[in-house]
Amino acid sequence: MSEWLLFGQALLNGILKSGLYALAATGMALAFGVVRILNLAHGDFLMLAAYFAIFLFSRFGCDPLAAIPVAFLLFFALGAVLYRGTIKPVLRAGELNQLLLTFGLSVLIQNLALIFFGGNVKTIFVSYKTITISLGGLSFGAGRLLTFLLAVVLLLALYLVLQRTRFGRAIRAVSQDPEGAALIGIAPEKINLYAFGLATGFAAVGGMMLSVILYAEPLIGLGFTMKSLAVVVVAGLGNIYGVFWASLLLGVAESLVSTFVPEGTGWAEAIFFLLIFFALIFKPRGVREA
Amino acid sequence: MKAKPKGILVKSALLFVLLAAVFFPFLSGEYYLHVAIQALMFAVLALSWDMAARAELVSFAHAGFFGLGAYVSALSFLKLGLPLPLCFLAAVLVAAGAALVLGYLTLPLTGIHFAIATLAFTQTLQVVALRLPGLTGGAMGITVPSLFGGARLFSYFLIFALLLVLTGISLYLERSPFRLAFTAMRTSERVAAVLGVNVVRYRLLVFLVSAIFAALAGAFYVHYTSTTIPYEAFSLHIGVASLVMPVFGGLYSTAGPLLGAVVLYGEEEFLRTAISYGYMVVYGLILIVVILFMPQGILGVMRRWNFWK
Amino acid sequence: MEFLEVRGLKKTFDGVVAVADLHFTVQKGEILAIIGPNGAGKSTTFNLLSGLFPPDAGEIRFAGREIAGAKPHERCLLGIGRTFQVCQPFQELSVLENVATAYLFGRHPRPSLVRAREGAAEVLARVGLAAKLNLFPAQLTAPDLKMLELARALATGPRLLLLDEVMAGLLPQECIRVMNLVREIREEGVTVILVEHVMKVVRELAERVIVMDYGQKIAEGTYAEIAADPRVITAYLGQGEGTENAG
Repeated sequence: MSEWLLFGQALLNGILKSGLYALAATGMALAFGVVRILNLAHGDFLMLAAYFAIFLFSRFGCDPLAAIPVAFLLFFALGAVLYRGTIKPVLRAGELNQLLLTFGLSVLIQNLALIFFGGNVKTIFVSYKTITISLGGLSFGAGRLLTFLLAVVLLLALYLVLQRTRFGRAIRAVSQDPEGAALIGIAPEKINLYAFGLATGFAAVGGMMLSVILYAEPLIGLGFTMKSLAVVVVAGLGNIYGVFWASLLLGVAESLVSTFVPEGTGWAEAIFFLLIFFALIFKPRGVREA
Repeated sequence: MKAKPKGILVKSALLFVLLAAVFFPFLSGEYYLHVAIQALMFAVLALSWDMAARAELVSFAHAGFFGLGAYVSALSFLKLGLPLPLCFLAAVLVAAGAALVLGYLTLPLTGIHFAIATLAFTQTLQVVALRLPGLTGGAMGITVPSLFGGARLFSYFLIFALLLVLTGISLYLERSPFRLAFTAMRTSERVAAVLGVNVVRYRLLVFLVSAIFAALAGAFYVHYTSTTIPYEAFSLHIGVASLVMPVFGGLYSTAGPLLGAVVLYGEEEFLRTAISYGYMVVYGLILIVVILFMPQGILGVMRRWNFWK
Repeated sequence: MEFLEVRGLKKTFDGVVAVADLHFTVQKGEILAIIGPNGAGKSTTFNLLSGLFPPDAGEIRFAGREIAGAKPHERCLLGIGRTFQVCQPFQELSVLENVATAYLFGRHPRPSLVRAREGAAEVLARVGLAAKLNLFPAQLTAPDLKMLELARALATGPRLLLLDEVMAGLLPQECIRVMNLVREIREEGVTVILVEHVMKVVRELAERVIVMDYGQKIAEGTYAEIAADPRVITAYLGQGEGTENAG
């Protein structure tokens, strides 16, 4: 394969990969931007949804793609319950408590998964998993293409909802100024509940696709939490609109490194961490008056 | 307040604990000695984490410093052939350097932002340890001879001495102007600075001391257990333990992290044999329950019940 | 030589000019008031003087020393003390410890913890909080919190005291008490700059008044002089109507 073809293939891989990252990170950005909570358990919802997909497939032969609406609703409800029971009580309790709480959720979910699902990798074989599409010397898996397209469609839908609907305006109002929103008759509590539900719902969609293109494993969530963090930090904490571009950037960067750097597959991970680190430190941040 | 009787009660309780700790290894069997050594090691880690937290540094870097200490010390022994005390010293120096660089770079960050940046630091170190197999043994890890030729009694007193020194430092910080400076910085670094507190110096100083002891715990760990791998030395388990223990025992104190470490490590050891991963489930649950219902940890509950009266 | 001399001070936030080319001087032992409509740049000026933000341009000479590049705690040690408009007490410390922190790290030569507590208690007695030493900030009323804020600034042992709306929200008799306290402090040789919205306080307390609008000084003089200045009247009347910059 020529250098250029290799480059094109790496680029394509990166772009398609970013679909899953965008699905994962959108929820984290929603929770941070609206509810103002950094959910360190976010990736673990993806993991749970992936196991859910595998359960549905192996038990009922239900295709993960077809089950996406069910999973979305189920995880929306799970998110709402978790919000009421755990997140809401710490919203006023300071950042340390919030961080430790979601960290505790993450540790709990991961290790319950280890106990109930076992430490082994679980995969499913849907009919389209092995389909590979070739185009002018480039090739890619149908599952990845589907994931990317789904991410594009869902993000567009989310943007439209945020921009064009009453509900979307209410979400944006709360995200910009919760107290101001309360003054003009929006109930921030209710919006927070929906936003957190949406966040876990998006994670569920990501998890269903994860089961199709990769596999499920109890600790896989941590990786997605870190990757979502990287996307969210690069996009600007809480900026929902920047998520797509940041995902694209990270997906492509990861893919290029793993293709062109010797033994790059492992080092690519480090890129995420370094990006998180330097994006945090060097991003000019607004200064608030005393 | 009846300050005097309370003081005597606390002092005699402390004396009892100290004496029990000194005589314990002569009375206990090998297994319980092993458990005690690990508990003391986690106590060092937990107390060092709490010290940084007092100045509002919610650190996920402590697993990083722990792993760094373990690897630097083990590699100094294996690759440079240094005697053990110098290996520990090397671990201290490298961790100190890393803490100063990390601390300096993260000066503009507080709260969540600092936490995320330090999490990224630890994860990066883990990737490095995994991806340099020529130096670190990669995923296979490293093996060194057992500390004191496997004589647990000496290991016990080494980690006990380390914990005593750290406890001394922590008590000093609690009773000196540092406590006021740290508590002020925890509320607002800006206000503290306007009142004359040299925020940058105190922040770097406490992070430095904290990192050094986390690294010493790591160095002790690798020589005591005589082996480690990146997934263990830089693991989530270490990161979780370092912060759950102080949170559970009672934040921003000397007694809290020590109490939390002993109780939780006991729980961990007990559950480890009963249900695998069970102890981590309990860690997760404890974090959630403590944050939601007893934000001041065990110490807070004891205070509420007037335990010392 | 001037005690405080500000020349060409400038600060913008994301392109929005908060302070633009500000010049003024303060004499030793003077009480100066800075007034102006909301958003005129008064609080930003205080933040620049106390070192919380670096200025984009300009010089600040304090007691013969250039301090524009100095850090906040260095300026505190040189003798600049300040209060915050929004009270920011250390919630986890008692009232006494709040003030002792300032005493300990302020200009007093390395006091012991015991000495710092004594010093703090003296300052708290002056502001009328002697009975509340062992309370926590959450247990204080709003006026008491204002006094705690003032006590903390005083406990650093300032030579120049920046008071950011300390009178706001106080009852008239409390206001009089604080005004007397400020005069007393000045008699001890402390120079005072106050940002104030209560005009009665400005009139009675300040020897000189600076009026700011759009980040610049638009008038300066005694209270009577600036009260008669047409530019000042325009600035206040034009507030919120998007009129042109009077300066």
